[in-house]
Amino acid sequence: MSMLPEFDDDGNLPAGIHRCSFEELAVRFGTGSPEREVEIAELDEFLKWAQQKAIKRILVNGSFVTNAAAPNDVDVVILPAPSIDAIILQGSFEMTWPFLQILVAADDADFEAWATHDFATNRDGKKKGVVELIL
Amino acid sequence: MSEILNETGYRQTKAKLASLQHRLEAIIARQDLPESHKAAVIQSYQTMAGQYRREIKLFEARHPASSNA
Repeated sequence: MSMLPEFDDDGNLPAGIHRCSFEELAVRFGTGSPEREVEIAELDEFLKWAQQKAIKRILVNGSFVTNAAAPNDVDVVILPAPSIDAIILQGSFEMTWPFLQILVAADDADFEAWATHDFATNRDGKKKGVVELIL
Repeated sequence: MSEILNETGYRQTKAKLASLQHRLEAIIARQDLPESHKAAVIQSYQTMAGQYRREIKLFEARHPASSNA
């Protein structure tokens, strides 16, 4: 069953945090252009890494989760579990996943601030939604 | 390359930058995060602040009157 809502008139998800599986994300956003195919492949690799490294929450934002044909990159916010060896967070993510811009949240409140404040509007100031992957 | 903001987006990005800087100060003051986690969080804030500043500067370069507003 699909958990992601339809786009609004501007081609964005409606405001809010929309939770879905990676499989649904891939079906909805992972095809249609070489950019989308490369980006979903990187997200797949990143998700596998994250699941091994005690990442607790993952947010996906940016034009990747809009109706844009060829998104430039994918904004990702991660919340590490307290048990993580945090030194891995200082690695150079862009060397491994050049299409992902990975931001690290401090805690749940910080994670949600990224979702509901920084990423809650687009460049035209219009409200939009983001996706949280179900881990 | 940064996309061009419109007037609404410009005002909103300035507000987001101010809020981000305020939140960053609070993060820097925290004592409960492991140092490497905290460093990664600060780096994330700085990355996003840089992106906001780039978009703001680009808008102001195209609309010189706005930077005095």
